[in-house]
Amino acid sequence: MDLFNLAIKSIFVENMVLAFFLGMCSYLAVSKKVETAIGLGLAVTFVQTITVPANWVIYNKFLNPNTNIWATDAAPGPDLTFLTFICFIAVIAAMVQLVEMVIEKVSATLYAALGIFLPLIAVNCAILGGSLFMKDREYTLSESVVFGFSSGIGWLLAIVAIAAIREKIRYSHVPNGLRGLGITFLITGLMAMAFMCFSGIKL
Amino acid sequence: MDKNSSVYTFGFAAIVTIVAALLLGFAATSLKPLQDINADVDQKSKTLLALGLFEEGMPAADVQAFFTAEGKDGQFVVKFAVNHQGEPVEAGEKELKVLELEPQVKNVAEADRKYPIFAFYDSKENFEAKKATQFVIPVFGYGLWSNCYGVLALDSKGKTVNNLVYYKHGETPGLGGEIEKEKFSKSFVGKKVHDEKGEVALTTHKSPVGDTQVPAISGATFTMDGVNLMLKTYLTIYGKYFEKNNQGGGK
Amino acid sequence: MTAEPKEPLFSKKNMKLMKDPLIDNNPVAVQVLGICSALAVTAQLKPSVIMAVSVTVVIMFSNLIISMLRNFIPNSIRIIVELTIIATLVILVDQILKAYAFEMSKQLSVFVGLIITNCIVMGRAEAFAMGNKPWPSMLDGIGSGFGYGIIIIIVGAIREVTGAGTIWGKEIIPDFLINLGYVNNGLMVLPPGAFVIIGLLVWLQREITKKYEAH
Repeated sequence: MDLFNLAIKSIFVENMVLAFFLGMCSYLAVSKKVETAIGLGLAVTFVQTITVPANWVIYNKFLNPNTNIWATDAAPGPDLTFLTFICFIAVIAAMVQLVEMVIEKVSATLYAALGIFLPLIAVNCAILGGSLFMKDREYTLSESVVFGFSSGIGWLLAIVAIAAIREKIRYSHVPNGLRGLGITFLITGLMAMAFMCFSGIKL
Repeated sequence: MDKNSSVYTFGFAAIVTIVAALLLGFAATSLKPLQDINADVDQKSKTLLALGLFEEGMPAADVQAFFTAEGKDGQFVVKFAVNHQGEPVEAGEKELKVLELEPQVKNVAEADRKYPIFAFYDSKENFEAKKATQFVIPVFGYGLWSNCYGVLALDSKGKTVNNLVYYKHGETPGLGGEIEKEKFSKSFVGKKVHDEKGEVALTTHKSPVGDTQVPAISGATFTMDGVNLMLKTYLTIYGKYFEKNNQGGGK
Repeated sequence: MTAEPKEPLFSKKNMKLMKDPLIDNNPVAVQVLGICSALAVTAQLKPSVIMAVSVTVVIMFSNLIISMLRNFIPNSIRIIVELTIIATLVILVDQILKAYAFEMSKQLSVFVGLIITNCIVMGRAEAFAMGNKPWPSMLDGIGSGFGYGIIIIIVGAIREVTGAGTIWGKEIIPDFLINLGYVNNGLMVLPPGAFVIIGLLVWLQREITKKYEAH
């Protein structure tokens, strides 16, 4: 039940885009069409579900002095936490490469759908952000799997929603200066307000 | 040399890695002592906050002085730990230093938890006689959005509230966020922890009556529920310690 | 070395590198870069300023170092080398903040680390530093950093004043206004406030430069 709560929380209440502004760059750039938005959203979810637990292992087994493999009951192991950022980003870059290669080998259709988005993801803040939140909030391994997956889903939800709105808004009279980026921000603001209604939900 | 040969690529990667590692290793080791002091002071200042002894921009050495055997200006703070039954438990010096409530609530079974508690002595005589004049206990729990972290200062018997300070939360500004304001803290001063039956009764209420109820912040029902729950939980647990301590003192 | 006509350090061309990103080609408003961290830390002015300074420092040095190495970096591992350099710089900033500005580093929490994936830093490294000399690259870095900084400082200031009634932590709303029933707009401090303000800023910037987007 705790895990389910965590999932609900990371999809709706603490949405990566709408509450923490993470992954905004690709959120704004790739949200002109619903189809591409779904593709990118799925790719993010996929990579997020893999990298958050992978980074959990790296952080807790190697970097954190209290829990790493060199730590004994008597004394903590070497403190390597200062390498956190660089390890996380390396794991993410490597994972993205690996996922790209595997998908290319396994399924041509999936590769055609996700392939072009994968390189974009290595520098998507939502991915690194997810791993850093996992570290900051001291999730357990199972929590980190759930968190990785559901925060990815939350991101997918946000980008698909905005893409659908942007497709419709093409037919509206938006003031010149507000067209494109400006109106997208305002709509995102409204969406963020709507998502705030989910706060306080607990099962 | 060919820039695209594997040897060059590997060599370049190796050099970049080594330079970066050396640089970071050096920076991390040389800044570590300062960072440790910061983290230590940060933790200790919370306790002083509840006691009303902390001021913004207080030098690190002053904050730490309260916790030494020499004290500061004749005032002493001692941290120790109690178990779930309210009995003082042994904790190593290092363990005690980093002992906090939150990580344990998540990872440690109730029976094995060590609850940190701070005793405050207002003079050298009291310090030597081990007669604490105030106690500070940490409280934390879920509000509406986030975990709220506070410190609660109680009198020597653990029966009257001297102060309640929330120092970290992510509640709605203007509504639940008001728990960090002085007004909310002040409303707790002098309130009683227990009702006539001896039950923990300190709580927030829309229309407070008696000396165990505190005016609730309007429009922040969820946050107030969280506050009530954490007060009840931790006052009950630490209450067992005070009960034993008071009996011991009476003998 | 081939003889090149010597250019003064602060020539017109170089100054343009610094000035351009401020309004005409603002990285946040026009190039849509670096929004992530631009918003999350802007509920108050102080963290916004610290963030602006940190990003400027990182982008300046990353541009400088990458530009100095640009002829040596093998193409196949270009991105990962750039990432390593940027990550190293960000860790240094994080460590220094933790040692000398602990309160701030706690408040900025994960968002210091997220400078690594701030698209401005990576974007300027790829687009400018890989093809230009160190000095212009550094100026470009400073300019982009300032362009980013200006936006988040404006957003931070507006949000703090309207949302909490303070600026740099000091109360600035006069008492008589509060007595008249003035209430802070709590929504401004929450995420939606940031989106709305930056949307309006983008609008303002478009009206000033008269460069409109198609739908």
